[in-house]
Amino acid sequence: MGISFQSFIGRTVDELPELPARSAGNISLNTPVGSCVDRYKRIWLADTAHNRLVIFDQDLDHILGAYGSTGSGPDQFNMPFRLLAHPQKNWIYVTDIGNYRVHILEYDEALNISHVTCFGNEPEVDLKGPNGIVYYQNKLCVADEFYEGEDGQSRLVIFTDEGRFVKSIHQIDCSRSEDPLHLLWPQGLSLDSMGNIYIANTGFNTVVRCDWDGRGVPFSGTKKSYIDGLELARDVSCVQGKILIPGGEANAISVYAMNGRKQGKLEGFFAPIQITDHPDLHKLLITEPILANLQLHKINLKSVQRNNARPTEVLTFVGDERDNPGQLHFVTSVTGDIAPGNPVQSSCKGTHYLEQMLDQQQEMQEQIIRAMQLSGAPSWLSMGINFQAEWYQRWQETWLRMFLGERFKEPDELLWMVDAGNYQLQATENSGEDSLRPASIPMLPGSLGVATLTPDEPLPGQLDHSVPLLVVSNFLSSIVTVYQYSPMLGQLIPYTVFGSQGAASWQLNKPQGIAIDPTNNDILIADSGNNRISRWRLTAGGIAGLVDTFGELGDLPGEFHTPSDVAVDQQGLCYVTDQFNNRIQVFDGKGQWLRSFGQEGYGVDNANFLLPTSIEYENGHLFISDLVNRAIKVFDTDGRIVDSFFGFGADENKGQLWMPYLLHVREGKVYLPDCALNRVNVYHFDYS
Amino acid sequence: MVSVFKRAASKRLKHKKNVQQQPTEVLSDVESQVLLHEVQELIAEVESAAEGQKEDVTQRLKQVHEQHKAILAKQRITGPLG
Repeated sequence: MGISFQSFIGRTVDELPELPARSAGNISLNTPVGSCVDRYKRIWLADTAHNRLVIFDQDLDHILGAYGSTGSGPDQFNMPFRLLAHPQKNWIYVTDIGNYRVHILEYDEALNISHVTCFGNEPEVDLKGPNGIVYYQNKLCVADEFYEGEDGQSRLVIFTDEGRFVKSIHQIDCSRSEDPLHLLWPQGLSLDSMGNIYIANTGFNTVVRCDWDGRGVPFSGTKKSYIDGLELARDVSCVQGKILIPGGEANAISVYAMNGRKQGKLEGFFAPIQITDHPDLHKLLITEPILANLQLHKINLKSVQRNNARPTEVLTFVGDERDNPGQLHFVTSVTGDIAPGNPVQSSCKGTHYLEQMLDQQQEMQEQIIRAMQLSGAPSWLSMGINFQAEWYQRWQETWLRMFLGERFKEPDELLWMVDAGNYQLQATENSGEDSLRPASIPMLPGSLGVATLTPDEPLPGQLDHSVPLLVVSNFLSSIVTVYQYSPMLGQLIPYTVFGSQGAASWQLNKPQGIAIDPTNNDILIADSGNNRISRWRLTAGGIAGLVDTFGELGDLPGEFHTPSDVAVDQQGLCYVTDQFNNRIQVFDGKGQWLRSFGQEGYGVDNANFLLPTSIEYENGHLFISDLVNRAIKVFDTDGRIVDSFFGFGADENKGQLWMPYLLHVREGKVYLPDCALNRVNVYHFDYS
Repeated sequence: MVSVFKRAASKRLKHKKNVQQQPTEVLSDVESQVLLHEVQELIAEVESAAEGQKEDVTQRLKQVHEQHKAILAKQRITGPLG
């Protein structure tokens, strides 16, 4: 009995033309995170999930070079995360988070790059998750995100600029009026002109300010050494005399004065992470990992004041659409079943003509996008145009597929996955690495969870009873759509729809995982924003009706803090990943709380959880994806651990994980989509 | 000392309880309901379409697409990683 990695689904597109080459149309990025500017004003980008660095010219017009591959050798990376240019030497520091070390690379004007050394993985230091990095007066400070101190706290580690260990900082000591501050999952770091360190303290959603001895430095405007009240604190950047906090509020970059008081926000973003000052006046480099691009913005931050909201101007960006055949973009969930014995072969075989047509279509569309991408357009408008153009492209492709009559031979035996970033469902007949094909009319952005539903009897208006219905939740619109297969169109089309955004019992807010109750075919939805589970039923007349909801915000038994997924066993017992309470809760078929198991903490082979995200039941076992621990844990239904798989990183051949989302289990096969790595890992659990 | 994990979880929960629940999504409640009705209408039309009406069905799908575009034009975009 045990779980092991087998294979993955999703094409990797990391080829580059002969360099230098134009950026547009020549590079597909995979969740890029860090950036920096070297002493020749070239821009370096960590193409994190591709395990490489890419170097661009100052205007992002051309790709100048690339460096690195997957592995643990001197020239290799496992998730290169943050980059930092040494201010006086031709050195770039790279935090190599999956290899638990930091690189020093040396470069010259001709962009010859050589490896100098690695540090941080020596036993006396033993970094557990090097993330943000800053330099000041010949010293480096590294945020060790997953280090576990005595009470679980993370740490900062100080090195010389050549990588010699100096000391660790385990808490931020404050003045007599404040308790010491602890760090939990610190990510981005930044530095002000005085040399103070700013820490994005993700676990507490704060930004902490301290000196190089770990003493808190209070903000004059608040008398506290931290900024609070943030939606998220994944990163922080001190530029143009302001403190910028990407994601400090939804879809925006929060702007604070150096005295710690809020000034306003830059709006129109998706999920921005690193902000790097560009050599040109009032220009900022901003990575959008989920959008898979690096953007160049123009904004005078002095214009952000009196709590106003300002758009920026998007000057350009790099990173092509992740829509090559077989490629995924923010894959979130999987469902369905592949018939045993389907030979592994490319489903795209024989569709050369179609591919050619699509390529031409895409090229034409890109020209339109470029024409619409006016220089100086405000960011929200510019991004909106891109968004619409891409949406339009999806529809064009769908018409083409319909026109050519391309359809799956056996649509009842497919594995379906929500390709959220491409606004569509994709399907595979054989789970081959390069076997995915689009399979639905374009869906609204935000589609997230999926489950298959086979009604006991054909429903009115159901076009093909042999093909299961697909139930898809939409995180943004809070609508759940039930799709059916149309033999006429050879596509999935909506059968019925329910929900809508709100807190009324019949509404939803940020729905995520979906499960079908095998005892009665009810649809259970993890209504994460309303902190409850919502149970719906398709009547014999094909109408979706609310049955009931259970749960509310809190941490007592039966309460939830962001329930992200739900599973139901053969007896109708309901298991919920109570994500931010770090536990699994069990309910009966009427929503009555029965028991809970699990507690917060690091661990890859026990019932400790840190943001358990997804759960599925099969054959007397519960399969749980434990996000921060990057583990798939298998339990019996009494909460006893049976086996587990652990892997943190971006090595596609090892089943490693970065941001695993909603898993799916069928006959011992565990399909786990990783929305940051943009592939679906396939594991096998041996029940014998 | 209470573990850092527990303190962090308590702080996040307290913050969530204190902050008035406001949807962070791009679509307002009204727009969400408009969208719901649009899809419902679309379903009714697709359902009643006969084999020879493929053209009509695709046209109707396209119309809904245009309406979606109008909603998208007003929105900000967000993601599920919170």
